[in-house]
Amino acid sequence: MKKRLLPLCFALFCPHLFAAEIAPGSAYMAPLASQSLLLDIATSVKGRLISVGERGHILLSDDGEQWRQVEVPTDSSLTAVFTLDNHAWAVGHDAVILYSQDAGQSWQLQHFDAEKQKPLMDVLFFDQQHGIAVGAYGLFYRTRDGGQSWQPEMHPELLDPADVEYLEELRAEDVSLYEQELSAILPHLNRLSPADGKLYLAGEAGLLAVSEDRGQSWVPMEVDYYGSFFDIEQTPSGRLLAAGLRGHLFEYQEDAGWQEIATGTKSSLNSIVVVDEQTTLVVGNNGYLIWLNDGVQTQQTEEEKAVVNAIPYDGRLLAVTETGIKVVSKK
Amino acid sequence: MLSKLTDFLETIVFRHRAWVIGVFLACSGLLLYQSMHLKLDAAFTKNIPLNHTYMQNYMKHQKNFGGANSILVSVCNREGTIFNQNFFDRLKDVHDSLFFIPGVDRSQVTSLYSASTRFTEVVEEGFSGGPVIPADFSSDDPAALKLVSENITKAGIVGRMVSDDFKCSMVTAQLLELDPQTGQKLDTLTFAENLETKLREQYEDERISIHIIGFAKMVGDVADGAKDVLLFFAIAIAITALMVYFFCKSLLLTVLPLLCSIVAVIWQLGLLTLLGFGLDPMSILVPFLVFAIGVSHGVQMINYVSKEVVAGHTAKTGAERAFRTLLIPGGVALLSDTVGFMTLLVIDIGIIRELAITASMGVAVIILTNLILLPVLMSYVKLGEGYKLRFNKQAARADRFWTLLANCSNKGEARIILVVVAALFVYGWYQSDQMKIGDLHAGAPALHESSRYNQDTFLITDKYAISVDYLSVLVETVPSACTSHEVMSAIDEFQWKMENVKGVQSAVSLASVAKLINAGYNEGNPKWRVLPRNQQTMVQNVARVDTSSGLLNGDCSVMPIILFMEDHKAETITRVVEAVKQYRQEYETDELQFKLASGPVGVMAATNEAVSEAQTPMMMYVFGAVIILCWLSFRSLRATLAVVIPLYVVSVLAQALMTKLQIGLTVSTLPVIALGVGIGVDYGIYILSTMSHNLNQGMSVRNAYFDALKERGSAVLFTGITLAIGVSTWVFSSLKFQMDMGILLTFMFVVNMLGAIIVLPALAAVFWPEKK
Repeated sequence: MKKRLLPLCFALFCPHLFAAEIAPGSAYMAPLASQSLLLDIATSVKGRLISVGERGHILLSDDGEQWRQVEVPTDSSLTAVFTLDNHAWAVGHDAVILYSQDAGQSWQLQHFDAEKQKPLMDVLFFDQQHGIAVGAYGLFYRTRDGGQSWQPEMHPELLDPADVEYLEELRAEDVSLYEQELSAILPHLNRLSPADGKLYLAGEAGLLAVSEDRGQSWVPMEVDYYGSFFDIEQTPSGRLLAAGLRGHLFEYQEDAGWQEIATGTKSSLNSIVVVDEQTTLVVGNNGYLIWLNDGVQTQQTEEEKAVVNAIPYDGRLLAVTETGIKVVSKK
Repeated sequence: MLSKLTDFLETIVFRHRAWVIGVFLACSGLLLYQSMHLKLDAAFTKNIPLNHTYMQNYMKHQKNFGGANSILVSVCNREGTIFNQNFFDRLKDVHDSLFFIPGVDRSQVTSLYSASTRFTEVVEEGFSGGPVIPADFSSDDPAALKLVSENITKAGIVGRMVSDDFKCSMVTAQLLELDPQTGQKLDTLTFAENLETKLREQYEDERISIHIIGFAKMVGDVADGAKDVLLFFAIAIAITALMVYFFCKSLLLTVLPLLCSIVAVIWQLGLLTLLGFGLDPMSILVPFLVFAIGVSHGVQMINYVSKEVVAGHTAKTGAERAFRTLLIPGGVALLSDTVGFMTLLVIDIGIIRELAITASMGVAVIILTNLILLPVLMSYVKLGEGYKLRFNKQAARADRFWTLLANCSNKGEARIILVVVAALFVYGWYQSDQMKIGDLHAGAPALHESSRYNQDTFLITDKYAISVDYLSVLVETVPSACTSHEVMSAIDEFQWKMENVKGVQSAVSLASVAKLINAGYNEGNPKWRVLPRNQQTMVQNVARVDTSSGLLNGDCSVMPIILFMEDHKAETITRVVEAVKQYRQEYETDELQFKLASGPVGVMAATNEAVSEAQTPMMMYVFGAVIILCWLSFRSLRATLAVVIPLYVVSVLAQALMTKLQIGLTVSTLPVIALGVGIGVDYGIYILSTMSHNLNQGMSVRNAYFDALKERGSAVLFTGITLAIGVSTWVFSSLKFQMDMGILLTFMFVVNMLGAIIVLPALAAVFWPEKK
């Protein structure tokens, strides 16, 4: 079999094809949007559910069963949604940030920067004015005016210790080159998670960090794993959990630090979901569901499709998966 | 002038009777020998409208993307999942056997066992992957089976190569149109037979079932079903013989027309072979039709001769007179049959053209066998006094019926008949307007729903997420366009819009695969399932896709979007094709074109369009030919109209019947109307040729008609019924399209006959008003 290799120089022969005029576009209203790849879900006021996903899809439901797509001023894929009272923010690829003040019914574009070629992965607001959004390659934005303006921040304290020395040397030589390199070398920031006045962060290459000042400064946490983490979460009973690549699940112990919990799967774990006081669910690729209460119970959905996140709603668990919204339950 | 010609021919033929018989004998011997070598012949390209734009695009890219001619073999465990030694051993056997069947493109055989079936997984260091079935796999090791099971999930081939319930696994192959070694065309029927003998018979047992689908297999099953036709042929000959005997009450007179008709069939088959044609399963009914038409004209001939003999002439004189009288109307009738069939040549689909050639040649041959050979043979016949007595008795009984029927030409009755006909026409017109194009039912339309092939189709479409009903939109652009975010996202967006069209089950393209790979490069994180804006990243993604995936050509200037459809009903196809035409406008530029179409449904879309486009011209040509021939033989507008109007009403009613019976207009039903009109016109021509002669002599319409009935009526009635009984046996065919053709032809024959004896005289009564 012959492998095809595409010479990059081909692009030179037809430059007009590649001339970019990147506009945010708008989401196509698709009958199958509720069965498309959905990436996050949140509840808003009055039992309103908001789910976001690929192609700028935003879907609303008031009963967890009937979903309707709403108009969105972008067709970039949306990776996370955050709600505060009837305010909602959604972030995604092309560093897009959307804002709604009517519980998800209508959306405005607050930020869009496709040339950056970096996606945002999570967004969090401390109150109506103050929030942060994080993403790939250490992408970090902060707002103090409810999202009217977003200021980029760099957090070199999140660097891999191995890179710190090299970058310090670089900074001594050339500050602009240092900043350029920093923005390429910083790890992906995958998830923000507030708990007990602290803010936790899960990211690429074994990154787990904690902040006590709303993310202005970060302290990396020691963990014996160099794969990526996709979520970090504190349960109501006070357990601090982190989930990541290839079925890796860790729990923080005051005395012994991060300890691995065997999950019995090698599929990546995408999110940690607090189901109730006792039960926590970790969801992952290939339909893996890991139930944590007294013990660990690993299951797979019938479809075996990636489950990205889930939310307890009205006595059920609604999951966002690569084939849309699904109800998941313990077998 | 015409009578001079017939006189001349009569002199030649009847002075040299022995010579004539000798020549016929010699030709028959030669053609019989030729017809022994006739082969059943079915080729994929014959079934498609090759000049249709869709098919031009299809042929253009066929080399790169294979095409619509593939074979799917699903191996299923009857009890339990596939993960056991017995199953994997059997799967390997099937894979290897399919690989070695001649006609299979060996580079395009895929299954769990092919090296190209690989999985990739994300590990901390990046990607890791390998063949789903590792090189050191041994099926008796449960751990190895477990590993394969995990690899299958990682490879994402559940629903494609492994059924959703893990009870079946698929082996697929592409077929070559030409054998690379011999350069010969692929012999579809041998190939299909090989599938049965080398796969199904070998490997199906009480634990494993084998399900095979694909065009070649379908044609093979159709050809098998077509062999039933021999049985129907035998039954039809028997029934016809009995009927002819009841009609003429003489064994000898029964044998002669049958014999001449069989000679016509032999000539036709022999000529086909001489011209290098084979017999396609779709046109296997034609010899049958030729036989029936031959008999009906033969009956006219014996009918006439008998009347002459009974009137006191010798058989030789009777035969001579019959020849002279029937050569023109018979010749015109057969000629219009021939022309009717020839009009099918305007349809640019191979098998319809073949049908046109086969049928028109067969009918033309009847002119020789039944209008020349038959009277010559009859001139030797001796009919005794007993026969004359029986004949007279019968004639007296018939006269009472003819008197009754002649009332149709009374003014009052004629008005009533014409009002009823007009009402029927309006109703038929309304119904025929709703006639559907294409196949209306799931599965292969040529076969019954209960056939093994269709059952296998239902099983495979049920158990897998794939469908045999797919349509490829060929995206034509500039070389290396797959590295452009703009082009790829246009493809991606177009694909998503198409996926949302009702009738599209799922879709795949290089763009959708590139998104999966992009997520793969980002640790399998679903949040990265996007098309990267960065060109290098895009290059990295698409470089992992091989051309053998069928999703791109060598320089990725052509990328198909494959749309899997829920079914292939005409309305589904139309809806999807219309959606393609609409959505592509949003994305097309000079250098980015979304071309229709490849894949089986692409072929169907083209065929449906060709069939529906051909319908009106075909009707115009067939009626045009009939009108011209009628005009030439009658030299009268009134006579022409009297023949053509009932024909037209009946063909509209036949279309209404198709709506009512949910028979779609397809490659196999489209010719029926032309055949029906071509043959139906015979009745009118026979009746009116006697009538117009009488009318010209100043006879009243009623008397002229009564006379015509006495002379030709019994033969017309008999012909209609014989033809109808013959084709109605097709209703029992194991092939759905033969059943449909049988129903429609029976209807056309019977109703056209009724039209000629009821509506034609009523029209005549109006067209030739009595002079006061």
